[in-house]
Amino acid sequence: MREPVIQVDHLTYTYPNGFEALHDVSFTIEKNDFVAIIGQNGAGKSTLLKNLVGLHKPTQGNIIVDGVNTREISVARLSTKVGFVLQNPDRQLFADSVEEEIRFGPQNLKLDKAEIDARVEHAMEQTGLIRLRREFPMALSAGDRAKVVIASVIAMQPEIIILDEPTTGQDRRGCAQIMDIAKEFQRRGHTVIVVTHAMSLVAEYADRVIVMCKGRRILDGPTAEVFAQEEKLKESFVLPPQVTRLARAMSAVLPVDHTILSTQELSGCIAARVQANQM
Amino acid sequence: MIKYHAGESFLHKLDPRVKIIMLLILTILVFVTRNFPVLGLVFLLIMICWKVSGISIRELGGYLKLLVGLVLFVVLIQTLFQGGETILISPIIPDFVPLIGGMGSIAVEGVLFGLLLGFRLMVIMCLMPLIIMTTRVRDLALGFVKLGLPYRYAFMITTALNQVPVLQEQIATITDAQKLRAFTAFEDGGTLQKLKSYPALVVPLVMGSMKKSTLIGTAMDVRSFGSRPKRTYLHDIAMHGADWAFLCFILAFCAGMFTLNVML
Repeated sequence: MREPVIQVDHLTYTYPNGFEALHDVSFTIEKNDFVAIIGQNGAGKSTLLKNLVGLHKPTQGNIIVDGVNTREISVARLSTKVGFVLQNPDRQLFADSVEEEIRFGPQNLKLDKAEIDARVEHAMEQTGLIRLRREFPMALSAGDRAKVVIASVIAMQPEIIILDEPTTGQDRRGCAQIMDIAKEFQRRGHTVIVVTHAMSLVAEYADRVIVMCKGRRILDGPTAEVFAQEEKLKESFVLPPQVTRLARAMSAVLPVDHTILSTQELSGCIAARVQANQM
Repeated sequence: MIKYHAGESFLHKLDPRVKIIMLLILTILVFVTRNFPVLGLVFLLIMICWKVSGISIRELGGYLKLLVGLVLFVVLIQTLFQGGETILISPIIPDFVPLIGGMGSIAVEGVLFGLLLGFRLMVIMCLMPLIIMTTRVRDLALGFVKLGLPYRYAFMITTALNQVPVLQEQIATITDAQKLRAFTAFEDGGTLQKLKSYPALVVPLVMGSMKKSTLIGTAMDVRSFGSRPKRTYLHDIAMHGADWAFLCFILAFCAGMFTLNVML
């Protein structure tokens, strides 16, 4: 059993206008997990994230992040435990250079200069921004702007990193680069939570999927198992990746596993079957 | 927040043209008069209108705080620096203070002038939101156009009004974004720290607004904004009996106030 880093306990969140966005949500996220949270617009994903980083405090229930209740800690203090990559980079970029932008977070943590320099350098290296260090962040391409935001969070060295629809408006290459950075973060022992509508990316990168619908958690489990429950997913207007649906359709005539998540898996399965027939 | 609050009151149903005329004529009156009774009566009328509108003046929230602060500031500054003949306190700074000792005086005229300016400001700042909160932006624009303002300018006014809540929301998002980077100067920094930290809020806000206005411009162009000098309207407005009656009342009220202003 791995160590839990986020424990959400009977979380209900109601907005000041009376709208209940989350209803009795409970789950635990373990250290070094790569979790995708999916669901249609308005399912409560963003409200959930805001609760996890302390911008919203639960109306009922509790959230324990790395042993600390989010009610008892300021957003700024919590940011050293959970890093939050916002959907729209333009809401936070303001510095004259990429390097300055990344420096902002560690500086707010009042670290000494050598430590800040090392962290900034490391964050730029991990995100491939070294050659852009002197550039004006707002003039960069959408892909690079997203990377600057991720780097600025990585430089704060949080235990957990949360990405809110990081691939919106990105091309295929941008998406892959961003998700690779997140994967690398996981490989270094950290925990990653990502909210996205791109099911192919979920299939490719996530180990676990949480499906939200109308403020409730309706499905939760290993990625392949969640995508196998097509009927339940329909409730939240989520379609499994095309290859998973194809495998499921084929399973009527060919004995292929319908928890398949990638083209390699499917082609491997078919190849094995064909070989068995020829023998 | 200062934005349209849906309602069914007399003021909501009033033709936007009448409201615009009321706004203009009362503003002129307030700036022309130096009479406290006249200002008081105008203020009373505005407060009655607030009551009729069914919107609580508390809805103004932070704006109300700003208003009170601004009025107090104006009164204070005028009291200290306006001067006059009937001296109340002189000097303000005792003689024993080096260099600036013996300077400044407070006069009755200065205090009165300060109060007058403060009162004017308060009356106008209570009137503007009343009109905005009881009129749909769309109707306000139409009112301006029907009164002869070129559509381009009316469009500018309404776009600006529409953007206010959007900007407020953006400020909230940006503040959150910077808080998430362990930034605390907005909440518990000193004054100097707060000033130094403004770029973190203002730069994304201004850059975002500039980007957005370019987008709005393009969106307008592709929908051939201004391609024909005369345009038609999907929703039209018409003056009814009650509108004419209220217009007459406002004109009569203002005429009375102007007369009172000359007489007193």
